[in-house]
Amino acid sequence: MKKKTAVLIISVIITLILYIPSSTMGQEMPKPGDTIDKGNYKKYSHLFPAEFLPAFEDGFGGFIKPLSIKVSATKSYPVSTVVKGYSAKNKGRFGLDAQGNVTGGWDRNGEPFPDIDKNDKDFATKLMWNYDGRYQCDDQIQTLAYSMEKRKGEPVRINEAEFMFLFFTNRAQIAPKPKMDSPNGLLKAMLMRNTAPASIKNIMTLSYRYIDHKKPDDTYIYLPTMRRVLRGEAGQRSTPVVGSTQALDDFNIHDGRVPDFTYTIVGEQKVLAVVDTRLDVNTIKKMGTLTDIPYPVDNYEVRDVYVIDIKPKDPKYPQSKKRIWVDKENSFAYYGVAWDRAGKVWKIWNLALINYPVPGGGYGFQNGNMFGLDIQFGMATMYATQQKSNTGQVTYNDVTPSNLLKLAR
Amino acid sequence: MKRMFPMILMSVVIGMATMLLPTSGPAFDSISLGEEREITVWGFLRNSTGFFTQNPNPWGPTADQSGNRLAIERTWLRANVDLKLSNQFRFYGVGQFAYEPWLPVEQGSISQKNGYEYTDKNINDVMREAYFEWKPNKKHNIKFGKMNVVWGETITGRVGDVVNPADIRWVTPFSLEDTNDWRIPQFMVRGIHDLDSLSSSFEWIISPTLTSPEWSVSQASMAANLYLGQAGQRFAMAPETRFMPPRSIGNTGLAAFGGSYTPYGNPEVVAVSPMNGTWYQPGIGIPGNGWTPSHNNFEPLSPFQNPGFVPGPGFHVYSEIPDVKVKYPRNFESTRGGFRTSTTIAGYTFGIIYYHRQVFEPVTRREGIIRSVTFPGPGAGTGVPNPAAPSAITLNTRRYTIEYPDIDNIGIYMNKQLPWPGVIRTEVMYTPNMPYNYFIPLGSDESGVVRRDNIKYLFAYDLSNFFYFDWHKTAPFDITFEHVGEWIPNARELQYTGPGVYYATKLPSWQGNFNMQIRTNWFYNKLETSLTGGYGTFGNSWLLVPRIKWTPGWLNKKFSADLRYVYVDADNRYEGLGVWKDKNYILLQTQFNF
Repeated sequence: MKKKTAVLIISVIITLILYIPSSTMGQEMPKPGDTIDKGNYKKYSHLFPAEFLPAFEDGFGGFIKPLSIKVSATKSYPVSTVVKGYSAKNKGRFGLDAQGNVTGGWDRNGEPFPDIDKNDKDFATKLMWNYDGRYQCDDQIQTLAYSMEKRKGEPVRINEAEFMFLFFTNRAQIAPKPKMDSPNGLLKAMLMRNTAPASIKNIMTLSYRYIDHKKPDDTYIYLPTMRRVLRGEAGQRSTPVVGSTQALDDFNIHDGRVPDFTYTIVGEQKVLAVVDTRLDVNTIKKMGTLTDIPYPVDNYEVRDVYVIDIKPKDPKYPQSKKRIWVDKENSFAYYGVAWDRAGKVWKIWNLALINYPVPGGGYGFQNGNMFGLDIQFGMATMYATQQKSNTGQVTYNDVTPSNLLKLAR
Repeated sequence: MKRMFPMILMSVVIGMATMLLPTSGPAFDSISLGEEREITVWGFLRNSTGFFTQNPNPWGPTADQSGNRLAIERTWLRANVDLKLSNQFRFYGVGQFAYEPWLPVEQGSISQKNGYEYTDKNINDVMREAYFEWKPNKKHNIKFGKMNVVWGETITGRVGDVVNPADIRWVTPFSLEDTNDWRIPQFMVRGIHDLDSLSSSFEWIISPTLTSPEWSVSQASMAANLYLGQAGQRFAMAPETRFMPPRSIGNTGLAAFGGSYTPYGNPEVVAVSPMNGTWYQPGIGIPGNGWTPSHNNFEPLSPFQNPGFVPGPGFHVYSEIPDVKVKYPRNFESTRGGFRTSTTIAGYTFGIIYYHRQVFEPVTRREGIIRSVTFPGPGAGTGVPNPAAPSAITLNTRRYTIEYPDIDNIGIYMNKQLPWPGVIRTEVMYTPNMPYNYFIPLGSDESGVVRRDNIKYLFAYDLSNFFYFDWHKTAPFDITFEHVGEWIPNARELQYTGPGVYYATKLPSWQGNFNMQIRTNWFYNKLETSLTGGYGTFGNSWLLVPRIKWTPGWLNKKFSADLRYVYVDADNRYEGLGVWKDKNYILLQTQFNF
């Protein structure tokens, strides 16, 4: 009996050793339904970037309420089957040149390197090209976007805007698919119209990115105080947009042009992140007068991510390095940390996604809300939206400089 | 202080009223009026308080005018209404009211007559903009009503911006006021149509002159009228105080006196303006340029009506009486209109502009003698010690017409994001047969109006988001450089005139302005700072405008305070920016947005 017991115990131990993933050895994992807060967050600190842990202690020094999050079961959200089909056609077709540009004539549909190999010397760069080619939507209308900001010791302020996004390639749902022709060879266009406060009302920004990834972006700005459309400087995208700590390159944690940076894989890990956020503008409106920046607290799932360091090639770029945590399944980033040129931690971001099933199978994903904090200066921002994707209502005529004049007031 | 009281009271009342507006939210929410209808209202209450830092009006009748004069005390309420009637129809309107008391600095100017020169005009202009918009589909858009349209690429001047006249009575453009605030809205029908296959849009305007006539052209503060001994308004251009060139549109003809006063007068020295130049000054025997700029020296009809007045070197002689008419553009006969295209290809945005209109700043046409009066001469016992004087003299009244002739503007523009950092903007506007005043020969009956070709151009370079420093990493230092030039291939004898003022200055064939601005913001737009500088070759003039704007954390950014200083200097007061020399001022602008 004693022998049998001993064999049983040894078997159990061996089984446990075999079954527990090496990455979580000695690291406790939360269960669905668990709450993580100030009292127990240290047990799960391995599931967050270290820079985010003060959120549990004191809400980053008072910008948010001390964080208390609920864990839910990890689900699988495969990307759109249609887009997977686009990616499959790209297998083995493309390479990289010395500057990090994709060679071989990628039409910007699907991921250019679906058969990516971790042993590839360019693995990190190719991974970021796949990140760049991830499916977001065919179009999107954000009828109301809140950008909340809070400086230390000051009340929360709210900027409101409307957004329109139109993707000209990698289209999976709305005809024409996969590509909508545009006279300028556009990859995607974004139109932002500020609606409040009155001091910035009707300021509009139109941003173009081109299929030809060697072409710089273009930006047009309508200023009601001048009653005209001005050409903006889009070559550098590192200036925070009004009412936010985020620059255009920080949208969705990272939205920089791939060839403008170099990439290094730091590692792989698990993080707690939100793929199905409930924190939208309507929820925030119901909160009444805000004293703190809202922060997503529900539906945290354990997600597998790559940790990638991004360094700008331009020595004048204000960030010396950005680290992002990118989901292995859907290629969206959940966390970001940026260092200034002196090497000090400067800004952090957290992105919570919205997902939606798409016809043909799989899911589409969108930025549900995004938290940002300038640690050095002491300013926190939160972006949240009321949005609808794949409407079929956004056309090329909506995202032209002349439409800024039509919308002008 | 008594005069200031109503203004202060009104400011307080309006201010208290606005405090009742909701301040916790970002703005008024749109109000739904049914299925597709909604109305949105927003606007601002703004106070501008400015002080001159030196005597801005040395030509005024009060010798004791000094610096530290209140330059602006304007309280300005503006409301915008955006009414969505359906997905195809909208209405947009802008109403405003501005209150500003008469200020002592304008003592002696026309503002004194009613005390509310500025405010009255704005009450008349309460409905600043009002237009309907029809959008049959996404490619076409038509607006009709009263509105502002700003074309062109130039920020620090007007090259392609040819549609609306300007109103520079309140502040000089150098104070960096919003362009939209100093345009005068006009009635028009305006269409914008997308041409997808060409990656272009086509915009057209038809604008009959349906505003009240004086509001169809640019408004400017009245300069000092030396003839009437009247001070200029606070931001008026300097009056001419020299009598240097030999000829002028204001040349009323020394011939009126025949050879009577030849011993005293220099026939090469005549007045430059029919309004303040009907008397002349020999340039001998007097320090400086020979003229004392004070109305006190003016003796109407001296010596003829003032027996005993002893003229000598430097006295003023009345020569010819001006009778001035203003011919404004009117109604459909003065309909303006044109088009602009915009094409975006390969990162370039470019287009052409054509616009037919009247000039916004007038020319003065010298016309014929309409009346003659004969006065008894000094020989009749007036006491004028001139033995050569005739026994009688005839004074003529001459008609002058201030008019706004038709012109055609033809232009091209382009902007491009460069492959390296920076954006270039450029435009050229050609105006054939632009009307000018010119210096007419002495004793001539010429009109003083001539047409010459004019070319204005811009070259601008914007370097934004480029200069980051570790000690200021939340925002870059952005730099804008603009070179705005004007070339008149045949500038021979052209006279430099401004709105209501005439200079004894010849226009150069080419003049260029080189303007630059460096700006940044601090603490994520809590503070915005800029330094604007400009140099003009005409008159070797330059300006400097440091500015700081504060948007505090409370009231959800509804409140801001903007402090700026405007400094202009030049070789003299009669060329380029120098016409605003000595009107330097500090301006504090506080604004509450709702």
